[in-house]
Amino acid sequence: MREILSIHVGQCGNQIADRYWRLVLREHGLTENGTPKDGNMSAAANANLEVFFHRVRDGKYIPRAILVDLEPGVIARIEGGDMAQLFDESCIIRKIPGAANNWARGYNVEGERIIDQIMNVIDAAVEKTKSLQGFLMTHSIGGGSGSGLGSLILERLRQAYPKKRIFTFSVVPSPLISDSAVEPYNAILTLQRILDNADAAVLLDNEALFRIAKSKLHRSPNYMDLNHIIALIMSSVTASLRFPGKLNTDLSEYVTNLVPFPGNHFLTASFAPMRAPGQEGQVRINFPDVARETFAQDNFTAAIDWTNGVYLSACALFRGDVKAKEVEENMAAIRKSLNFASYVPTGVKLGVAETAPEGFASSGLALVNHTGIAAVFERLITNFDIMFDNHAYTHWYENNGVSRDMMAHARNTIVNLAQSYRDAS
Amino acid sequence: MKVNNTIVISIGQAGNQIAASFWKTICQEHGIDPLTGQTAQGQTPRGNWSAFFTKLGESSSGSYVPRAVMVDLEPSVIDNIKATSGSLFNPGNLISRTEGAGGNFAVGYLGAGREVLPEVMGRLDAEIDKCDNVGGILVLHATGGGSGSGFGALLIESVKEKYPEFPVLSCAVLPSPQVSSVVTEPYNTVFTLNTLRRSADACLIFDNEALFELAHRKWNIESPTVDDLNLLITEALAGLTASMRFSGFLTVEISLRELLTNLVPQPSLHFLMCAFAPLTPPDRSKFEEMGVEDMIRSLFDNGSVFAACSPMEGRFLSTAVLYRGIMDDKPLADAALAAMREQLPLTYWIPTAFKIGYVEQPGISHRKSMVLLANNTEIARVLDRICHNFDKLWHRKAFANWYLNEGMSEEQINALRASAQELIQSYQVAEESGAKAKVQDSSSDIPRGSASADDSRSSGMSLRDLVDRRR
Repeated sequence: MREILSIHVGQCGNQIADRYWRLVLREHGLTENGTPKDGNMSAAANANLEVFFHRVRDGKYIPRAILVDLEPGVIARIEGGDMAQLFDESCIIRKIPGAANNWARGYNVEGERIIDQIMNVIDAAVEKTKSLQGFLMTHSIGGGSGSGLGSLILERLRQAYPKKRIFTFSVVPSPLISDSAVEPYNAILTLQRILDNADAAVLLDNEALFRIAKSKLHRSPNYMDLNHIIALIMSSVTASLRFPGKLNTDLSEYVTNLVPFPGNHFLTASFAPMRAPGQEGQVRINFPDVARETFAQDNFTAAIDWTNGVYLSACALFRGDVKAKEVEENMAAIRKSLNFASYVPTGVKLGVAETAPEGFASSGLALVNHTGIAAVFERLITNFDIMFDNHAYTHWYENNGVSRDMMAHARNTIVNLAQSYRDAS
Repeated sequence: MKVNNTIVISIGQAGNQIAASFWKTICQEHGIDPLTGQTAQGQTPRGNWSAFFTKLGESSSGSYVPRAVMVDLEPSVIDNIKATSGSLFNPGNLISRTEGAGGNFAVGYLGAGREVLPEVMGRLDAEIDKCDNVGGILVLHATGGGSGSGFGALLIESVKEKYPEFPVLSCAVLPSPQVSSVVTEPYNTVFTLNTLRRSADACLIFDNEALFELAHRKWNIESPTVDDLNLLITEALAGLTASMRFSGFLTVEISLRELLTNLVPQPSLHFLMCAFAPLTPPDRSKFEEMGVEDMIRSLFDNGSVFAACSPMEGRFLSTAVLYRGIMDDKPLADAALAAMREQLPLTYWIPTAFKIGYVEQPGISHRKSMVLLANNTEIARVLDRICHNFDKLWHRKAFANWYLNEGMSEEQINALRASAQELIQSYQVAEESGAKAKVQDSSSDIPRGSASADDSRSSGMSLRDLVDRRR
């Protein structure tokens, strides 16, 4: 079995974990404690269960997940809630005081103190696998823990496991719903580490998530709604790894299909049909609409510059009550409307899986590599520059071992990354 | 679970009076009896009690002791606290001397203060030893008297020297002639400012001039006393520390460090002001509830900020709004805050400094309340007022002999006055640089790339000069 280890870092990363594991448990017919519901485990649905879970003696399944949070709050809530019994106690790393929204504290001060403990927990979890294929990390890159400590973990993971795949689901801050003044600094410093150490990163832009949630939920969304969207996307991305299928059955295949040039591994995703939690089943939606919504530009989770960019690659996975023929027909039309780079031959890779997410009759997921993602980087760099040129907030970083030179270097790296996307158009 | 532990040091008459009412309030919020330190039926206190309390004794009969050190150079206030607080505080941490500081910064800083310092530092060391993890040190003091100003400055310098890694937030009460007791207040305040500027990580200003007006206008008190003003300060302090003391499902916990990361854009620009809503008189708060939108409007109203200035006419460098109470109208509050943010005079080179915190646990006197913390350039006007009063005295060397006799020199005094002026200037520079670009933005859209780059560089230069000058 090719196992995958999930690592959830920081407040946002753990909140996503909470939503995500809930969805995954339901899809596999497990209760919130990891035990099979009514004992009726369908063999087909759970053939690949061991990829994300390991089974313990009493028939309980424990997620292969490591929860790391510098601040005490979020994990305490997961433990106190109905999933209290789900996670392996030894895989929860908590109680370390906060990084204070400061990448440098997460990376240097608090990180230094705890990184060895984290790596020991990861090593122990890896030892429980037969043939690990890689890691998934969820974190936000605007805060302090997820960004700073997340960066340190990425570096150490790459050192310790150079041959394993590393995927990140990274929440990118947006000025519209900003959580802290120093988000642009934290984000740029983290992006540099994701560029150097991860094989692929799905960028989840708070601004785009907020827009999607608002238009689909018909009310002002909160962080829970945004995390729910992220969890839906993650569960669909991992669906092809968790259920038998033909497309993208392991992380390496994802990377091969989606990353045309080294370094251009920043992806964006779209999930359809988007509904408020609990209202998924109320509207029956036919397949052409699902396909169209999946590739609708305003349904993607990053603020992509669609007009000045091209598709480098794309994958789609349709789940549930869909027929392969239907998929082929509808996607042929949609494919024509997508603006692919001239040198990319085939276009959209298609996959079909039988099991739809809980509550949905059918669903669609698109995972794409589009050069317009440069706009996300450019937006961060603009804010970074305004503050950096005026020496705003940089003393917090200098006091914690991150010099202005290091910050400038990270900034230039991301400028080059954005440029490389622009050049690829 | 590890919590950031905060130690509160209160100094002088005003500092200790505020501390007494602050501790009483947060004891009630956590469900701890403010006279015995025990909880009803030996329950665990509400929230992250270990943020501000240590536990004494193991079993259910244990009591909870504030992480407090209280110091005064004269005995009356400390004696009063000893008499009225039962067995709440550790008596060893209530430190007083008999002579007093005579309203003289120099006595607190150079004379009697130096003698009491070792004992105070010893008690502080002991408190720090009891912490799992020090999240910060709050210093409550007034800058007008002798103990709060002189010893406050000495203590902050000593703490920062010994524990440079712990953030120190000074909560400084600025004097006002309206409720003044000491004629040398401008001297003491200006001298203290130098320490607050160089040693403290941040300084939260409570301006008695503004508080007096607030108590008079909003609470309808004919001539407010210091006690009324301290009540206002307590409300703000309880609200501001709530996000360090409680967690909950929707609560966004914010540590002191995190607050400072967001509120202090440059080391020299760390003087904060605050506001509290609702400003309903305490005896009426149960009957008259304010809507969230009204509360937000009130927070940003020039007339309700705890400093005698008009923040809407200055420039907001950074802002934090801490909302506490029942969360059913959170979306409403979010929307109102977003709308308010659009109207604020922000600084162009700090695009995203707007921190929002939520605490579900309501306060004692209000079911819903909000605290605004702002780093606003209008603080320069408050400091300027104090300096102006200083100049009037110093021009005639009035009362200067008290300081010269205690060992301060004229040169020193001039240097301290100059230091306060630099502080005012750095805020004025920040105000101008924030505004300049805005004019540039709207006037020239065509050659945008080069023009705005030039502009940011020139304003950046002047700020950089300032940083250099400070070193």
